Amino acid sequence: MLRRTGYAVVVFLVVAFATNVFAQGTSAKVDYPKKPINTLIGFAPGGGSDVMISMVRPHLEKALKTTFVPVYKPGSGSDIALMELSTSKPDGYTVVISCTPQVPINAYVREAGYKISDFAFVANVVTDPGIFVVRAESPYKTIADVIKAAKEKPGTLSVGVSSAPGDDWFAMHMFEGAAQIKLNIVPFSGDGPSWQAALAGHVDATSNNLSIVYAQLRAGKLRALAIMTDQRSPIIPDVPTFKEMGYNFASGSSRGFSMPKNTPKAIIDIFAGAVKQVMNTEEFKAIALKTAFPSDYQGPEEYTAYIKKLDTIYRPLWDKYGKSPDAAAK
Amino acid sequence: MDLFSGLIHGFSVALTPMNLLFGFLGAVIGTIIGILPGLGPLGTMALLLSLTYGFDPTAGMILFAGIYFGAMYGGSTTSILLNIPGEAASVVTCIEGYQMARRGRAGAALAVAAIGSFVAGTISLIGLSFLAPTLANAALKFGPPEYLAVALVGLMIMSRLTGGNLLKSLMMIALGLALGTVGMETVAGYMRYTFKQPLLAQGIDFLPVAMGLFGISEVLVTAEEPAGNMQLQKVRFRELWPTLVEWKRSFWPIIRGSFIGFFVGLVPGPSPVIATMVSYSVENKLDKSGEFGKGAIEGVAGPEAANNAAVGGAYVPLMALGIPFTPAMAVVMAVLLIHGITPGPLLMSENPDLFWGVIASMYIGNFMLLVFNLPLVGVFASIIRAPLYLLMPIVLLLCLVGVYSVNNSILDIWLMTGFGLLGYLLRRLRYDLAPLVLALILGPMMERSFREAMMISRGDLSVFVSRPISGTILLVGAIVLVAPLLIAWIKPLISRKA
Repeated sequence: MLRRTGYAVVVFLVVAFATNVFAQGTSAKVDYPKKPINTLIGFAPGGGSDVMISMVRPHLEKALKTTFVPVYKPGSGSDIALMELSTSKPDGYTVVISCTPQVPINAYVREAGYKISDFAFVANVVTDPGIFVVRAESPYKTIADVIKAAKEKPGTLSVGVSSAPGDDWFAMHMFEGAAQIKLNIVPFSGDGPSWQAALAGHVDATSNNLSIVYAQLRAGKLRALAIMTDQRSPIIPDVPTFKEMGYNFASGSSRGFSMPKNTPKAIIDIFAGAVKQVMNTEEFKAIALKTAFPSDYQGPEEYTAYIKKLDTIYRPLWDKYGKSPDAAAK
Repeated sequence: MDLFSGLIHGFSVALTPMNLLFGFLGAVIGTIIGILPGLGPLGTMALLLSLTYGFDPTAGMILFAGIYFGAMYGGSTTSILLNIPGEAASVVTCIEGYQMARRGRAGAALAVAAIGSFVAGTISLIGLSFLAPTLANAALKFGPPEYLAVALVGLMIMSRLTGGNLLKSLMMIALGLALGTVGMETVAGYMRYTFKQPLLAQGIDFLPVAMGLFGISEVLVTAEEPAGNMQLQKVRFRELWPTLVEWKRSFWPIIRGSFIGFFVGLVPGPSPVIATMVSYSVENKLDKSGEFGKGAIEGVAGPEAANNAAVGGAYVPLMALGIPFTPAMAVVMAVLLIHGITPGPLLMSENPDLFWGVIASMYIGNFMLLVFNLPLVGVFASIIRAPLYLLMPIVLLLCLVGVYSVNNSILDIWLMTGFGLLGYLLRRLRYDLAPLVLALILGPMMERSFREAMMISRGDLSVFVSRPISGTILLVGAIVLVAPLLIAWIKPLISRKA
């Protein structure tokens, strides 16, 4: 019996510590990677970060000839994982799945334990566009219907969002500003509960992300009224953008890879190059289109600039609506 | 494809040697991780996720179904033997299961849990095959007001769960609810009681608390016992199995637990936990033996059936609508996504092979679990024959490694240690620990659904009674609460007249 328990302990220790054992070792300059890469994931298994890493991981492992070890550090809107990255060795063997809007806004709205300048943004993988959705039975057929209803009874049309301050939450405040309306924005505990509430009619609409509601759109259970991109999405080309209707805003939730600051540029370039190469293969593109995985590769410079830009958009919105939600509700 | 041809087709897909192997592997892995405290089905499935890219999606789904069912069963083993709930859904099993083990009936408790899990799993799968589309739509009707109603009634059940001192139970519930408020509040992201510690921002997780309160405190209590009592009763092999009387007593609790578990499992949130609580209190109310609290087999059979049936229930919204109500279901969904399949309302018509194959494989996995686990009952039951001076340090070590492995967080180790000491004190003062843990799980859900409901209704409290489902749940709850008082008041009046 003890032997059996012994085996169990050994198996267990291997699983538990496999994630950390590889963290030690020497750093390479150009010969990268030489060992497994720890991937910090700031959300519980099953979230969008998980889907992202699962989609690219098998391909990326082949391209880089190494393995990715997922290390879950869920909690506090990914702050815990980001904090861990900020104190990790800048040797390219610790990466984080960095998600917007948590990066950059968390560090602004609260005591986060790290600064945005602690990171080197390596490559963006996906930008899941924001999308305005109602259920199939809803009387609202177009955005014009929604705006009309919101103007008739300001503050009563309820729109579910994933959380505050989440990308959907920012998006709806941008929409309010652009259309000069007042909505009843209801933060849920995630994308899922938000669209499910809209599907069941608990709220009038949901501001959500394309890949999350795609299956329901295709089955005709939910109806998309407008998408928050610059151009129409190839995944659902029939849905108009807010911009083409004259409401000048775009929004989405991006996920990519980041490393600690001072990571050698050679390593960042090797990693970003592999991500780019993987995302350009026909096999990957085919799966991405089928599962509504909105690929959006951005290299190191572009990705860094993107994060900076988001920071300047989000800060004033948070100051206006977020700092004191009670005051904003009036 | 109608149901029967669908199922038959499903079995023809699932019954390949390769898929059977995956089903068996899943059951084995699930049982092991269920037994080891800490790393649960969620973490395990996430670690294996990208491995499934190399398999056929049906095989991946079969593997994960085996792990999920296996973990639900395995979790009860440590609850019964060592008083350590490896899963939230096995907290309730500790109450009677561990008492049975102390009386030398560990084998009986384990065997009843295994059979109960199998029966419940089968009943819930039949429910899943026949009723999935209908039930999934009904499950959607549960909005924030309904969750609050469910959680409130859950709290009420909890206050009388173990039948001890009401005041003490209420104090434990209040403490659990208070602990549940620590961390980042979900609606606006404000920090509460975090003292600028980013690690506390994620709140106090259930697992370190439960493992500390139950497991660590058990080690402490055992260490305190005089050396002469250190050896628990020897168990002879013949006594490993439940007696005929014990089977009879378990039959109806298993059936009731299965139905309770399946229907409660449809509701999002910590449904397996609520299912076990409901089943336990039902059995407690119906009990005539007076053994509850001292190791009543009904208190193991019912909740164990309920938590397994809830797993089947949780698959309903996933398979029929593509809604993962629990994080574990979201990982299952990711298996499909990486293969380019979008789970959703069209899954059944677009991928009938997969849909029916998975359902058929769940029947197979459930059966394998029984085949794999029944012979092990004797082995596990003999664990407690090991000298306690060897067993308890191993338990301590497993708890430490296990709790760390979940979030890779040192804070969790400290939390577990602290709650272990607290648990020891509370047990010495004769407080029930289960209400504290269960309130910690339900508290955040209650707060969130209350605030969501208030935002939707723009502050109108009447939503809770004017909506048919939440109104009915609250009414039933009120009746359950008031009826005993009313009966106690009327009875003397009637007997005086007679």
